[in-house]
Amino acid sequence: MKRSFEDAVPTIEANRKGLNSYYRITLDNLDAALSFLKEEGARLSTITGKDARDHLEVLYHFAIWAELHTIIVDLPYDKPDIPTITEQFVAALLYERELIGLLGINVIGIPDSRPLELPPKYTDPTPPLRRA
Amino acid sequence: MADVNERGFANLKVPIGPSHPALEEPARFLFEVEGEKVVNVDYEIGYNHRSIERLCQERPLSKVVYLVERICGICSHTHPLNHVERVEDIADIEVPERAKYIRTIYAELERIHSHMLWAGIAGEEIGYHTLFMYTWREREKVMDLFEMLSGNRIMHGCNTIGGVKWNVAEEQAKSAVSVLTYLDTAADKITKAVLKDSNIAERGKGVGSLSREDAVRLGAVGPNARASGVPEDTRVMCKYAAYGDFDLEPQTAKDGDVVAQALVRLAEIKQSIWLTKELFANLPNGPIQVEYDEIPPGRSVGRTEAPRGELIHYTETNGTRFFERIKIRSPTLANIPSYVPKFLGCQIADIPIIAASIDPCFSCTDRMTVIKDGKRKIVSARELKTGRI
Repeated sequence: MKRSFEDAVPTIEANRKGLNSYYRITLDNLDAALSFLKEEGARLSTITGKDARDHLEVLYHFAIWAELHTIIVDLPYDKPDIPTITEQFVAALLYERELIGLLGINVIGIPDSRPLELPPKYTDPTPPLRRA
Repeated sequence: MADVNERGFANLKVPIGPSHPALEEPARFLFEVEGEKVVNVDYEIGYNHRSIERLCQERPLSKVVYLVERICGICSHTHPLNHVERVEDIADIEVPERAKYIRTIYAELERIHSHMLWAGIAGEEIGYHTLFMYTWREREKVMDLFEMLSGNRIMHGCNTIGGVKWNVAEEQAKSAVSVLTYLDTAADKITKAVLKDSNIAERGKGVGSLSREDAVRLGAVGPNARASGVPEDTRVMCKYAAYGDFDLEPQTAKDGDVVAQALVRLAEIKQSIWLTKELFANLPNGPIQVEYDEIPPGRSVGRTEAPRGELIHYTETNGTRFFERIKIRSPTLANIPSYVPKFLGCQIADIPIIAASIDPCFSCTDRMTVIKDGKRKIVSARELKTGRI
C-alpha cells in the first residue's frame, strides 16, 4: 500500500505482523475505508464473520499483491446491520450471503439475500456460527 | 403451451444438478435458454455443507489439523499446510528448512496430480475419452509417489504444527526423481496431444471466455484468473514454505476460454515437475520438526496456492485449548461468480465443459465404503463414531 491507511481513515486500533495488517474501524468509516482500498487497487479476498461472545465482528480481507489488509467492524447483538459492499466490490456477494446464513447478520441493500450454504427449509432460529 | 418472450422464444429453464450426469459436483445451475443459447444462469451451492468451521471451534486445538486435512480429498495437503502456517505465525514457531522443503514437495505433487485429473475430466466432458485414460494413467504415478513418501495416497498426514511428520530418505528421493523424469516426458506428450488436436481447438476455442476485466472484477483466482491474463500466483507473491528460494513465473494465457485454461494448467504441470525435482536436489539436512509450548492468543490470515487457486485461512486463538474462529475460503467459492459471464451466450452442449473448465471442487466424499470379506458395505456416521465397522 502506497499511502497510510490510518492517515486516510479514522482507525480505532491498528496491528501489523509480517504481510498482515489489521485495522479496527467504526461502521461510519466503512465507506471511507472501502474507497481508500479501491484507490489502492485492493482486491476483496473474503469476508469473515465472527461471534465474539458479546458482539459480532465482520472482517473484510483485502489483498494488495502479497499484503493482506483486514478491516474489522464491530456490530452489536441487538442490531446486527451492515451495509452491503457489493457496489464497490462485486465479489463480496457470496461472502455477504454467507454472513446472512451462518451468522444471522443483516446485510442491508444486498442484491441477493438468499443464505448461501443453508437449505431453504432451515428453521433453527439460531444461525449455525452463533455461540448462543 | 409455454409462455413466449418478446423475442419469440419459449420461456424455458433447464436445471442441471445437484445430481446430474453432466456435472459431477453437487451444485445446482438453472439455465434460462432461448433455443440452444443460454441467456441467464442462477447457481445454488451448499448441498454438502459439513459445518467444518463450526467443528474446528469445538475440537481440541491439536486435533483440528486432522479435520482440516479432510476438507478436500484433492487439496488434502494445502489445507493443513495453510492451517499449520497460521498457527505457527501466531505462536512465532520457526519451522526447520527441511520441513519447509518437504511441505513444498507435497504441495507441488498435489498440483501435478490435480491438474492431470482436470485434464482427464475436461477430455471426458468433450468426449475425448482417450485423453482421460491417458492422463489418469500418468496421475497414478503421482499417487504411488505419495504412497511411497507418506504411506497414503490421499490423506498424507504430513503437516503438523512445527514441521512435518514424514522424513524423506535418500532412496525415496532418488526413485521420486526418476518417476518425475518419466512424468516430464509424459507431460510433454499430454501437452502435444491437447494443443495439436484440431478437435480440441474447435471444441474449446472461444468457449467459456472470461475477460481480464471480468476476472478481476469478479474476484477470480488461480488458473481460472491466470487463463484470463491476471498474473497472480500466491506462490510467487507470498513466498510461503520454500517458494522464496526459487524463481517462479506465474503461467498465464490471454483468452480465458477452455483452451487457455488447458494451456495454463499444462504449463503448471511442467513447472511443478521442474520445481519438485529442484526441491529434491536441494533438500537441506536437519530436523523436520520443532517442539512448541503453548499457542498464545492471536490472529493470523494467510494464503496458499491450492491447485484451484488462492486458498485463504483466517485463524484466531484465544489462549485456551480451542480455536476462537477458523474461516476457510476455498478457491472454488471465489471462482463461482465467474461462471456467469462464461455461461452467458454459450450453447447448451458446451455447459458440461464450461462447468468443468474452472476445475470446481464443491465437496469431497461424505461417507466411506469398506470392503470386508469380499462384501461391500457403506459405513454410517454412527458406526464410524463408535468404531463398530
